[in-house]
Amino acid sequence: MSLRTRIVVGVIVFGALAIIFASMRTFLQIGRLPYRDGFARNHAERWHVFGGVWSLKDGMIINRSDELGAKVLTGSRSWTNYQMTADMEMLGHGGDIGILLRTRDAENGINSYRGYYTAIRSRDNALVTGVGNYDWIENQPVSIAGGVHSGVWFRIHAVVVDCDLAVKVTNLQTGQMAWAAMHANGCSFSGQIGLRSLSTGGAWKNIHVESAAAADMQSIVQHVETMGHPEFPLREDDYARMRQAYAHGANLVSLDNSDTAYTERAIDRQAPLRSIKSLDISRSGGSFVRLRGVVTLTDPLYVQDATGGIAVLSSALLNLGDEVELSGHAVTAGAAPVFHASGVQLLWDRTPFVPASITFTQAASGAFEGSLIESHGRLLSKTVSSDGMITLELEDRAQRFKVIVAQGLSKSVFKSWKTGSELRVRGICSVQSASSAEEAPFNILPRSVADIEVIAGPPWNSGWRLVYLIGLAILLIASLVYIYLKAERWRMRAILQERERLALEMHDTLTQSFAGVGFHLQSMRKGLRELGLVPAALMHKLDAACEMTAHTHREASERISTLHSAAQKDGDLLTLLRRSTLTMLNGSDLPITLHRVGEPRHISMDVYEALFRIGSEAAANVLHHSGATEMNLALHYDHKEVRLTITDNGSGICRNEAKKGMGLQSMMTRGACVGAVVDIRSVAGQGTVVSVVAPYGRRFSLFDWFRFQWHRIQSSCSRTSP
Amino acid sequence: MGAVLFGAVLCMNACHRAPMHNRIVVVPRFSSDARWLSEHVGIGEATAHAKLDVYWNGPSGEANMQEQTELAERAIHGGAYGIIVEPSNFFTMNRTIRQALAHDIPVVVLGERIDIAPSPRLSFVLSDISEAGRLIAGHLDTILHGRGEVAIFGLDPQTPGNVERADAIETALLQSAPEIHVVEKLVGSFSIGSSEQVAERVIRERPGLKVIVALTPREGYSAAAAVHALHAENRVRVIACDQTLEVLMLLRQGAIDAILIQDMRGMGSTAVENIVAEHHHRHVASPVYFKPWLVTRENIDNERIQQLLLMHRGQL
Repeated sequence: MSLRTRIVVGVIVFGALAIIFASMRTFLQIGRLPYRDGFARNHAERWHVFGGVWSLKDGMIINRSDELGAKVLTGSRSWTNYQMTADMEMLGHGGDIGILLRTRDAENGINSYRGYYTAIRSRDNALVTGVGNYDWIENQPVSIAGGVHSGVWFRIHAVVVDCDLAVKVTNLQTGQMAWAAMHANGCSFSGQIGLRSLSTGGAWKNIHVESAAAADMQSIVQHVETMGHPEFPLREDDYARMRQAYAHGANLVSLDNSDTAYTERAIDRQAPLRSIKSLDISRSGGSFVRLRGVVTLTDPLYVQDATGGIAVLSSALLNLGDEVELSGHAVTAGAAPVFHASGVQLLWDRTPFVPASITFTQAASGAFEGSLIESHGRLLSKTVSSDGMITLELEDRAQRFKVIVAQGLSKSVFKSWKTGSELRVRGICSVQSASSAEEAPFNILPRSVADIEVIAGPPWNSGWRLVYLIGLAILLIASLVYIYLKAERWRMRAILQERERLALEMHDTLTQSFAGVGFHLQSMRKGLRELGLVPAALMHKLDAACEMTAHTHREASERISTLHSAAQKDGDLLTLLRRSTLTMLNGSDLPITLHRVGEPRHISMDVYEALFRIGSEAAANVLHHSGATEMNLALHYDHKEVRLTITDNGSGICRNEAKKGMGLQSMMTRGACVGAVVDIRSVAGQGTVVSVVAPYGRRFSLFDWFRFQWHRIQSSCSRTSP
Repeated sequence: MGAVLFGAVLCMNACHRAPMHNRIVVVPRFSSDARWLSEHVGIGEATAHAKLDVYWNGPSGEANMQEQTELAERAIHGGAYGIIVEPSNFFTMNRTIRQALAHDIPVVVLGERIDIAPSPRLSFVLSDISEAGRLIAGHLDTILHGRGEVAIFGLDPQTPGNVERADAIETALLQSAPEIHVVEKLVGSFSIGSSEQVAERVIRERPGLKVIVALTPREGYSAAAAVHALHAENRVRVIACDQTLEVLMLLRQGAIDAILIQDMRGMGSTAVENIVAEHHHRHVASPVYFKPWLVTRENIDNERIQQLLLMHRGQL
């Protein structure tokens, strides 16, 4: 494995480990016991929401919805035997609030979880324990002395060990306590903790979880008369008896729509009952009336009936879905009326209200002021304030408006909305709250971030996404070109290897043959000369043949040496030229001095060969024509170019010879092919200086690739043209 | 090694989800009242026999049709063994049901018929509406002695079986008690409070009114509250349709005179059997009708009625 490969693998492995560690860090942090959450900084990023309208306030986590089975979960699925303590307050009527233990597989829905649930229930003033398994099987409820009332804080302490659950609940106002315990068959042995409400709102604070043992269980069980089993009630008549037992002689179901806990002030029964659309519209305040409607938003408070909705000024603690009766009068202060409620009474709860699906132009008309609506638009911008209020700016074809909603428990939902996305928004249409009717004629006030749904992400050609795509495309092209260049380099290496192989083959065959022929010719010449019978003319021809053979042998050797890629590795150009010149000298005595200036650098194959050829030709000219007594070969490795200089002290070249000589022409041509400049300076009787200045040559580049492709296209066109 | 770790991280999220290939998904209109608890009992009995799992989740309110559709779509994507659904609306579930059938997932429509074309893997297990009409008409005849004024309350043309039930009551009255007249047919409201207002108005305006027949549990509750508010218990009686724990308790305390209950346990069991039969290429009878029962304070504690109203299988 090469060093580069090792580095790449190392970086990938390190990156993968870093990602795994980062993702596991959060898990490891919340996986430890004890666990404590006081919501002091109003952050609940680790809580996962399943239904409801959850918010954080003053160290409390609050659900303001009558939804059946709203829950939030946190902690580790590997927690086994532990005890959980929480303070909780019921914010509503006719439901229960509690905690979940060893919870798994949670989803949105009423009983959509597996695990234990224990709660306080206002309907029968009972401490409830049971098991949820996408179903609900309840243990015998235990009566709570003093009852379960809205606005009263209770402390619940639950211990789960093996398959046993024990619970103690304390009324923090009166100190009254209740205990319950049960054993479940086939229980799940580990799971998360959670908070849950059913049919009512609730608030929780001071969550604490720590490991538990049998002794902790026993401290509660000792107060329990019998260890129950979650199987009660199974039949309707059992259920009725249970209700009768807790009704204490009162009706099983109340038909009196009065609940003192929710009557802020007494309703004036003499006031006429009106629908919202039939209210008096007056700047000074309309007549005193009664209204009935369903709470569609809690903060600010909005109520809606079959005719429409209205903003309500009241300090009553109400939940989404509460059906209320209000007494008071409407005042039209701005673009829409506001109902000033002097009396508020809860009638029923859990009344769902279906939003009207309208266009935003209809919303801007004001006809749906205060009503729950649904529509969709494109997200233009988003901001979140320091107090956790999110403001989104949306538009459709005709209108631009704002959506204002509390951030809830987590910032992750806010982060998931991308500018340019198509969002479906459900919420209260409020013309009244719009700050600038010209820019945004109305606002949408969703009940929670769950009312904002991404229908489609931003278009591919929008803003940063386009930049991202372009960057990705460039990266892809660069990767492909890199791969191509790699392939070309591999191909070039294969060619060089083939050339080397050919060189060796030629050396082993051609040059050896020439050597053999030369040897035989010389033997023959020597033998004939010793005999002395051969005519001089014939001997002369034989000498010429020997000389030609020797010359051809040398030439072949030189050619082969340039084919041999190892030549560059063995030494630089200067060394090779010297070796070649010495070969040409064939034993004659000519001092050759070498000068190398600068750090040797890589020279491209083309330039290398051109310099070698030019240098060889110049050296040959020195040997054959100049009559020089010394020769100097100098190679300068400059910053951007390489310079080869061949200097001799011979007779020099006259101008006419220079024009006629094929060798000099050849030098010029070779130099031009690689972008080199060949300069020959000679003074008669004082020697010659041949200098070649050439670039080092380039590696195969992206530009070469494009040029190559262009030539391919051109040649292809020329082939196809008639 | 890095690739293996990366693959493991990617798999962590997806691999823990349980496959649905052995699971029947039940999507009721609303999953918290006694009607659906009894259905759950029937389905539990049949799936235990067939060694199948049940996934049981419904919308948090009857009005939340989108949530119902989403639950069914998840069942389709999860490759459920079968889907049992009671659509809240005539049309909203049709496309989803067709999608399930296109994925070869058997679907059983439970409770009331909806407007969807017959299909080989689609079957209906329905409540016998004609019998419901006859039962209520017979009870009206008994308590009114063949003569009196009746209001039908809670009409909702969008809810499957709702108008048909009202028509069945009128038809049965014409046949068996022609002197009992339906003098008002009232549309239901979105809330108990506003429904109560409507019921109060009718009681005030119709001094001869003897009985309010509420077509839904919510209207039954509203009518009982209106009667109570106007102190008209001795003049106007309330008959409700479909069981919830609240209206059953109202029956026991005398605020409601009778409740038409559905055999949800039997329907649930048959629905599972249909799905299993579809998978084994056996003949499936469709539609199958289940007779409803009329529960009064006199018969509510009968064992047969209590078995129909069973809330959990642990009793078996």
